[in-house]
Amino acid sequence: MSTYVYGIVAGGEPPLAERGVADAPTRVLEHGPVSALVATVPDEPVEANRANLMAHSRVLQRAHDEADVVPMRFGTVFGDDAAVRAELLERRRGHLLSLLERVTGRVELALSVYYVEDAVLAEIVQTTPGIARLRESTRALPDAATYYSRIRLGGMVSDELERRRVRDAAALRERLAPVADAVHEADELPERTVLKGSYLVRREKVHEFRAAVEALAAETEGRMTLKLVGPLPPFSFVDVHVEAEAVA
Amino acid sequence: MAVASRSAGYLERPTPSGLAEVVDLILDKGLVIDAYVRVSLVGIEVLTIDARIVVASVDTYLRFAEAVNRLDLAAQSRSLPDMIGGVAEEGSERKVKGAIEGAKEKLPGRSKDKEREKDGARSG
Repeated sequence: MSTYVYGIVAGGEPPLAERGVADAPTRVLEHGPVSALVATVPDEPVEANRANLMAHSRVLQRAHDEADVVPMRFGTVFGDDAAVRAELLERRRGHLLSLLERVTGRVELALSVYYVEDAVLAEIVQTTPGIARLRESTRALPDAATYYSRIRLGGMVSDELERRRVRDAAALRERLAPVADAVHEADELPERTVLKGSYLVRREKVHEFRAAVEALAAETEGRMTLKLVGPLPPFSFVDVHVEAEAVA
Repeated sequence: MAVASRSAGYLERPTPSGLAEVVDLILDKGLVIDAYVRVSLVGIEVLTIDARIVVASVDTYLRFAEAVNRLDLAAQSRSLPDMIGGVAEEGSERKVKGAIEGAKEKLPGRSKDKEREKDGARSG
């Protein structure tokens, strides 16, 4: 059997979800100032199926309800409890403590903002004369006659959409960044996305952050849709790789 | 402070409830101890939600053209000055009405790199 590691806490007794990955019970491994949330699992690699993925999230959410947690990425397995203590809690204690300090008293809130496409496209047509004209001329003719015009029209719309996205994202950022301690934005944006960001927010400021997002949703109604998930364990703010070999 | 009412285009979830949201967090992020990750991807479900990234291409442009051509502008009409950003003339400075201040100043270069740390996040 091996030891699966969910995340790190600063000791104490965090609430434990009963069943986790591989349907195994969760327990706490204490080692000085740091503790690991772990489970005993079979020796083979952990399968990334729905049950295990949801379990990893659920165990961390439950602990994070009442404790500060440095969450691990899915699938960290050590040989046994002794290896967790030696290789992780002892050898990397300084690193773990600094990550814990970084997230102490803070949670992650994940925000996605999307355009209501038809509303923004209509706005673009109505406020960009060149696009409106090209639209009129391509609409009037059969598709076969307008292939290259339509490509040009679509390119102009795409460019204008991106210009607006950049401006709208900046406006959203200005409203939210002041309420957060740190921000992590996604590198790549799915279709129609204005902004996709994770915010590290002090627990006592979560209501203020939510109120800011609700205000934005009210102001952008009909033009954008917003989705806010959280509070979450701060996955985006402990997103580091620790090398296998310790520095001597 | 005005109380914002819950509006139609807003979804709030206390925890990640779908597999797509969970995977977004726990497979791509979180602390990684190299050499100790043992994941078997056999059986992982294919996720398509949110996964499609726009690539500028002829197909994309044709799709946009089709989308604007079938717009019913009368149905979409709304009082433009009420919208965030106000009326934007081609090539002109964007004028802003409404509660959100527009990005009138030059936007700071937005690097593809990650965080901008505020004070306090790292200090002891």
